[in-house]
Amino acid sequence: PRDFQRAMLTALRCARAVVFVKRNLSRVHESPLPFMSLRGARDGLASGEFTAVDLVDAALGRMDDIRPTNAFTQNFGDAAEAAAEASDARRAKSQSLSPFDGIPLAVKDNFCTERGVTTAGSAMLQSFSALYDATVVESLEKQAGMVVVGKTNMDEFGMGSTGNHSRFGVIRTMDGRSPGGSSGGSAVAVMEGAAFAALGSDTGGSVRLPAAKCGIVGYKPTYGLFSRHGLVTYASSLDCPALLTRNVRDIAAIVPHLNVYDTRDPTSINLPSQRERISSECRMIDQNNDIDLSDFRVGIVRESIEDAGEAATSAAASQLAEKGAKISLQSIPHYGISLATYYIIATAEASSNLARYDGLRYGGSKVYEENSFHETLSQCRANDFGDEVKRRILTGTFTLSQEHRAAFFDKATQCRRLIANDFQRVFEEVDALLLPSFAESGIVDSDPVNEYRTDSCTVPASLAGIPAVTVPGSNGPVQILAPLLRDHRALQIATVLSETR
Amino acid sequence: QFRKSAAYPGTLPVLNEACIRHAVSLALALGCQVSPRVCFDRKHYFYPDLPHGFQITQERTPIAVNGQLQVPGTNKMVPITHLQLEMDSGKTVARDGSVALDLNRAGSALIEVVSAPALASGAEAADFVRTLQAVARALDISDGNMDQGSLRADVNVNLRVQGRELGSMFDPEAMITTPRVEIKNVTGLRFIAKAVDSELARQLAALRAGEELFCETRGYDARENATRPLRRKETRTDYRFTPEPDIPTVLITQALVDQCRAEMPELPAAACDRLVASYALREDDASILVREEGAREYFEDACQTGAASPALVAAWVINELLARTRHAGLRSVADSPAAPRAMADLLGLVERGDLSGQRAKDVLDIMFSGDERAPRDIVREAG
Repeated sequence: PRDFQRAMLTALRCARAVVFVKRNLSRVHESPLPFMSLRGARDGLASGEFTAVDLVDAALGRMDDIRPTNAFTQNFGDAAEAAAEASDARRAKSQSLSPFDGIPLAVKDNFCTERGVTTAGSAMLQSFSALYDATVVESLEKQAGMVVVGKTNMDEFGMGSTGNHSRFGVIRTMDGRSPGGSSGGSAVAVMEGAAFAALGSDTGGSVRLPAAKCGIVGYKPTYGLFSRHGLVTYASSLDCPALLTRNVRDIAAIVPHLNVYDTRDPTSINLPSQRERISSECRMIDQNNDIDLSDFRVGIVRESIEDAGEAATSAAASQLAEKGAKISLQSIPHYGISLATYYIIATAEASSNLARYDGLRYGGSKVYEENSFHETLSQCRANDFGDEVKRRILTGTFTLSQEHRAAFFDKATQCRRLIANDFQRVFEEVDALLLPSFAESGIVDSDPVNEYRTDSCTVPASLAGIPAVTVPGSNGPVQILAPLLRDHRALQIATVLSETR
Repeated sequence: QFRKSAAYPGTLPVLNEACIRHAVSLALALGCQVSPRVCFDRKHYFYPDLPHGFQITQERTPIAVNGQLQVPGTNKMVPITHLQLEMDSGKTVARDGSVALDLNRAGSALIEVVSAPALASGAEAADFVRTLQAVARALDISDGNMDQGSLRADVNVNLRVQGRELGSMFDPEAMITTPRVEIKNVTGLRFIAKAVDSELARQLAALRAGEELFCETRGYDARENATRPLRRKETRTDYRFTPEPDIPTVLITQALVDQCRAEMPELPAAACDRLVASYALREDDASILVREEGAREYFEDACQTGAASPALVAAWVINELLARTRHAGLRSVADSPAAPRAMADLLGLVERGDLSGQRAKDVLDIMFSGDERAPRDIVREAG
């Protein structure tokens, strides 16, 4: 299976190059522009090589090309064009909002936006106009000037690892594969050049998994680093706004714009000097610095390679060793129960956070008017929630019920503490950890529990709240974990890995 | 703000520091121990006035425990079990056969004061709430107005009675205890007294008639002066209590507690004692002055002029001023057209024998009608 995976990825890379070349021949005006890195786009805008209108046109062209993927729920075409023109006007007067002013961005459809609707992939919110921007959207669009080209499709309410669970069509890559989930749309958008970066959300791997499957970079920050205000909540103690790009240094370039304490999010971290350290380290990565790994201690998580194979991590470890890092084998003893722990906590919190959806105040696929409140509630939730969402709500209701709470939910929160402690202990021995990005489990799409198993490599970091990055490796995608508030370390290692392939 | 009240997707609950301070102040005033670490919990149920589908409350760690409140009059010491902070729901309003939803207050903070069973009648219950109301007003954490919902009471009533009181069919020595009934949302002090008494009577009558009584929630119907069932409480609802993940644990430092204690104004009980000691008032009169809004300040301001004796001022504030204030539809004695100085001058005339009590009442009426002349001038010009 692992050889197969390697072969598949190589074939895909070739296929994509072929597809691109073929298109190049048939559409003379086609440019490499939409596949440029975010920082490359920034530099080109600054030097006048191209304009924001060029970038946005290219992105919108790609959005058009990739319609069969269902990657987008909404195309903000006209508004994006107008925003690009405004950006160019600002640049002409040296009044750019930031170096990223005018660069196309895709936003996962569970971030509230003033423009359009915010569906979270669900019929329950299909007509929901948020009328306000999530903090992370505001930071990138209004404050930094990026142009939101559209909202991306996703597994409903963030629940799913395949792109099969959206009310607005199954999400696939251009070659018909599952892009992973729940940020499948954002991953396809970035992979296919419809945006230079995308916002996603990562609760148990929902950005890292699709990034890994689509051959791009995914970053989940320390929990509480990026504000959740405006993110439609799935699991409060696990949700993290997260980023997808084609290049690791691109992530580092964006981080300072999102690394802001937000009083509207009570779980937002209020430690100014820690935040400042992350931003300044990221700025250095952005400025093309050479990253010196000679004092870095990197551990490979034993239990993760027993679970998901060692091809990716071994290759990565060799590369890092050549750069001077010290590699060791480490153990996270409670790794094995992290999947169950995650699914108990996440479904419990989901059952609570989705209790507000009753069809009365916003959204809904239609107006429900039954004889009583409870009948209205039942009809609305029966019709407007998809199967996977219902499955998780019922599971969560069960594990929080009086009879079962002690055995399930309370136990799971205790296990979570054990897992977090395991990481804390290991990070006294090493500075960062390597794991595979996902376990290939030969998914039979129709088995819900099999789908959950793809998350086994990503949920441990979610439970511990620690930052994690996935990068395409020389032998498959690899995941790097760092301690709380040491996000820059994971990005540094990811940069070295991607630049020495 | 609207988005948070309506539980808009993407909005998060934010705890404001003022709530914590108010709760700590009330806790100190009631002699409670303040918890150094408090967390919040979600209590889940589906109801139209609960937009989130859960209420944020404190199930595991109430903000304060173990206090007491002395009720003047009976001098009963009512134990306070605990204080908890919680989130308010909206309000359902019946309108033309349908139900309208008012979400304005949804999401605001409430302090719930839970007392131990220690009150023996409707009158005692009303007195207890009135005393608590005065404390809340003195601390300026609430205007305590029951008709506007700033102060609400859910009253739990049951009966413990000996068989001999029920009739010959009962074993005279047996102690019979009825199931607890919760009377929700009683909207006035008088209604509290009446609701309790009518419920006690209902339970007693039911016992005597051999009817079955249930643990249930009832509402008070003021027109009928009776309680009516709202819903059965036989099976306890499973609220699926969950720790509130969005609000981190709050640490209440000793410094904060000390600061709240230092900033605490004079409480009603202390004010009462002081009035009795400083002005030689009767305790009953002191109580009234303390509990009626603005009355104590008015009284003390009038006394300060030295124009009339405290005993006379107290008598007139209580017997003449309060009634006229209420009649004029004013909230507080402080809003009355007769200022403390003017009142004191008027009473000075009475005390010296220059004016009869009856004439003085007439002058007060004239002052209340908006006449701004000094009392002396009114008297002279009216002959």
